[in-house]
Amino acid sequence: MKQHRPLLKRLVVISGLMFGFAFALVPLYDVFCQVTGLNGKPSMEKAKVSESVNTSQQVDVDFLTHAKEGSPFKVTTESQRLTVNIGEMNKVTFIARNLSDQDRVFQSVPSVSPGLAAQYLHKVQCFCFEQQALKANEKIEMTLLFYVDEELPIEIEEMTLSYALFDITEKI
Amino acid sequence: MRFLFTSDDVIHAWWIPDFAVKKDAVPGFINEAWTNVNVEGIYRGQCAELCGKSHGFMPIVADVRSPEEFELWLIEQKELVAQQAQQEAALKDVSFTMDELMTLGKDVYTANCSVCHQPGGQGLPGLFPSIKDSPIATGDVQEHIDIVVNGKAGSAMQAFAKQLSSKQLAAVITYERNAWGLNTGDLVQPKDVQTDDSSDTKPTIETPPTEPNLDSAKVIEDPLVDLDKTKLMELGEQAYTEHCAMCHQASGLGLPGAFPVLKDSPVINGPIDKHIDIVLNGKEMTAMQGYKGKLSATTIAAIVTYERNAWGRSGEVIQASEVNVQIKGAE
Amino acid sequence: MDDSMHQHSESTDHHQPSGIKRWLYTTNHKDIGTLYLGFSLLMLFIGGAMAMVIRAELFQPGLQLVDPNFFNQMTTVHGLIMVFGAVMPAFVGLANWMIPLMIGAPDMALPRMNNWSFWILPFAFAILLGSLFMDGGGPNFGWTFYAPLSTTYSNDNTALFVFSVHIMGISSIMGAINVIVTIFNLRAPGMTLMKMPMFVWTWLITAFLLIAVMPVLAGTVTMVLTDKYFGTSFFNAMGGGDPVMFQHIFWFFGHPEVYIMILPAFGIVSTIVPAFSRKKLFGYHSMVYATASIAFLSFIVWAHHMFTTGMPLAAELFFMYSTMLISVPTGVKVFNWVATMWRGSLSFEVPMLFSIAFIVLFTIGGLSGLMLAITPADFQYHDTYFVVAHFHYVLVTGALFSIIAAVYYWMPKWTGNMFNIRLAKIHFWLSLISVNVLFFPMHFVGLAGMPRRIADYALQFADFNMIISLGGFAFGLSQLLFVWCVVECFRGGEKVPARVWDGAEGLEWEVASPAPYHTFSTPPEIK
Repeated sequence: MKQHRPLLKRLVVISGLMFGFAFALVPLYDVFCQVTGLNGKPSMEKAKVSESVNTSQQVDVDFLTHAKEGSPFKVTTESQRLTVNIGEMNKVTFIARNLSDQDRVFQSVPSVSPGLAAQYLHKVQCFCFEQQALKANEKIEMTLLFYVDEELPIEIEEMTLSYALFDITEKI
Repeated sequence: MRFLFTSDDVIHAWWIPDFAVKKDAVPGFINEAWTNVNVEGIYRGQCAELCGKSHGFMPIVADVRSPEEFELWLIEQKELVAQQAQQEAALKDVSFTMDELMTLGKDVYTANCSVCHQPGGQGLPGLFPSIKDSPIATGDVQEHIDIVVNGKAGSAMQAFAKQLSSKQLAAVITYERNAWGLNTGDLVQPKDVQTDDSSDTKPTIETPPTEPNLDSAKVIEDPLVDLDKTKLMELGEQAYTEHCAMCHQASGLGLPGAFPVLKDSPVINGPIDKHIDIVLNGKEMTAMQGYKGKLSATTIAAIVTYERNAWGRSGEVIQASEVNVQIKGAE
Repeated sequence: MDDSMHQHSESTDHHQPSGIKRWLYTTNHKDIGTLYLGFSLLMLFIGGAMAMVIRAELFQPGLQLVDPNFFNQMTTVHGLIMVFGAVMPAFVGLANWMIPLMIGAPDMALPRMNNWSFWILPFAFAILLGSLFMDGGGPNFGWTFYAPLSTTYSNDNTALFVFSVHIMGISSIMGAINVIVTIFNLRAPGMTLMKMPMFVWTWLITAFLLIAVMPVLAGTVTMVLTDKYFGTSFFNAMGGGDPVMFQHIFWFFGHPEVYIMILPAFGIVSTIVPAFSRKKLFGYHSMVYATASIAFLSFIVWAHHMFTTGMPLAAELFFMYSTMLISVPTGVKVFNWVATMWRGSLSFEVPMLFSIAFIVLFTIGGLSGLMLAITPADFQYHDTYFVVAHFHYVLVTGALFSIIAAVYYWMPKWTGNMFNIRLAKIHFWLSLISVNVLFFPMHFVGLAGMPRRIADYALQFADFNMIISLGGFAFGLSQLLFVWCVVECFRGGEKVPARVWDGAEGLEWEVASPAPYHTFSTPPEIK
């Protein structure tokens, strides 16, 4: 049995490391996705203001919001689709409304399609992931300030930024 | 065409084989896909990712039209939406009597609720809860309204806000609170059901209207033209899928214990006028509603023809004029 | 037996306990091998019964026998039982029995851990099967338990599923560690790595795969537990998580897992075919390298299960190419088996029949796998019965047939008796025909558009489904013949010599049949 100890120890350690690896995959996945934009998760960093505007390249950007049916709130925007120049700063106003008679808190989770376009969408100001409290029947304005990176491949002519809306009143 | 997918609950997958599109619908994220379709028609598909007990019962139907036809349809829909918004606004100030609400409510209940909750309100134990024995029907009215309008998350109880007008919602909730001996005496009016949201438009596209649009200025006359069998079968299959298959199943085998089998049944094999009668007028004490006034005579003729010629049976052809005779005969 | 009879010969009776105590406390690799094999046979029938329920419901369109929720439990638990309860324990049982014999070792390196590895299994499966009978029912989210169906939308018995999987995982990891330590440390002097039998090689590589990925499964299933019960949001978009990440982590385990389930099968076929061709295995070295390549490649193909999740083109291409690449070393192996048979002196005993069937039918499964690897084609095949056809070909006519072949091959060594050859041949032919009636038409209904995991289907799939169900009932019944053959063989039969099959090679054929309780207490000399 003594002769087996060293190898046994090594194998147990490897198993343990692989267990840890499974959990390490979680941040690794996020890092990988942020760097490559592979899952449509836009970069969470506050982007710097863009350097220049390129009027020869445009891209159509759609803005969608989606809440589960029967949700007590609604988010709308006037500009559902904007044709923007590359590098140009744009502002989109969203109106959030609490339709119920109770104070509620909600959160918007962004998603971009095509996934690859996500890394080129820089949000200078965004309400993504912010916990937004709304009193009963209250209505507020939320601002999205963004620009599209100069590096955007010419093949991408349209992209969609969609916000999934979640009622997190019970969760906090 | 470019498609965007997301989900409200679990991962599903949208698949229409003829479009060569299959994409997962992931909750909280959007996915996209595109395809070119060159031939007008109805295309079908199914959910392709295990999503729970109804995974096998999530069909997809796409109605593809030429750009010109689509523009026309779009205009039609916009008009309908505007009309409905007008009606909704008008309903704000209307109060209906208990009798009016109960009559309409019973119809709405039969068409939309009894499929799960059963005509007698007792539900199906283990699957669909009873209404007549539930504290909701006799308890807080607002809670009752909320569950019908907004559905119940995590269950099969869907939100009916967008499918029924506020008049229908008010009626069915009133009905549920007073039928089956409950007699709470509660009256729910359309304004109790309406939300304050003026931009909360009620889309009309997917579901066929369960209440005939009798207020509409345009009433489309049924031309009552004779059609050949192939055309009737085509129309009939379409209409059957839209209106009948959810209970009687595409296979015509129904759901034992809940919805009767059509295939090889005495109704299908029996006299045509009785068959037409049951489709026109429904069947008392059951979830089978009457479609008179909701579907045109042509559509009903097509359905009856389809039911008598599908599932291995070779049967009769029924024309719209025959159906019309029975409609007129009753009037 | 009295004290004066203590002799240290090959077959000494060590006053071992008998009855239940023997089996409960045994540290003997042969006993433990038998326990694993018996357990896996029982699990095969339990999982098989669930398949019968599925096929009975799908026999005709409409919902006749079970409600959709129960149907989903059947498909889920059928998968879990077959993967973790039938195939894997069977291979571990064969490993236990044969590896020490093949390398000239007296037992496994860690005999007491060996006992634990087995005995926690019935415990794990009692929990899993028990959950079927509890309020809420068993797991109903597919053996792949994708989130959030398995987290937010599952019932409370999910915790039992999680614990059950943890225990199975621990069992596999301990077993794999045992195999590696045994092979590295206990080979008889003179047996270099490149002199080991192919079954030992494939198990060595499988064991490394196991310790690499079973912990990842444990991590995955833990994340499901915490997401469901402890408020984490690994797979919940609301909390910043991602359901697709679940699939990445799961399939990082899941893909190597299916190679874990096939590499030992390759080893078995590489043992049996040379024996009944009376010819050495063609290309031993390339077989070893091919196995290692398959194992390595199995780590970089996982997302071919996820082509429809919305991956960017670059990722789809990468996984498509790497998946197609795996067919190369696999093709090398198939070629080598056929080359072994070429100009060999062939005889068609029952183990050889199952092995030849393996070569042909596994290849069919591999071909449908190659079809699935092509991403744009996969968009149509994904989550349809085409996939079900593919993996049942590689798992049933692949892994299961190899296990059956191995049992027929080595059972005379274990028992000292030849099995009922006539009955075994009938078992073979019935199985061969019914398995193809069962799984081949699944290719067609999948291509015709029938999705997986549905309790009821559109009318156009009815005819093929009826044929499939009939094949299923026939295949299920045919396996009863196998049980009969096994039980009969353990009870008695024509006595066999040490070298049961005249063309067979390997140290296991140097010891008597039945193999003595303790073998190779002194290691043999390998030239």
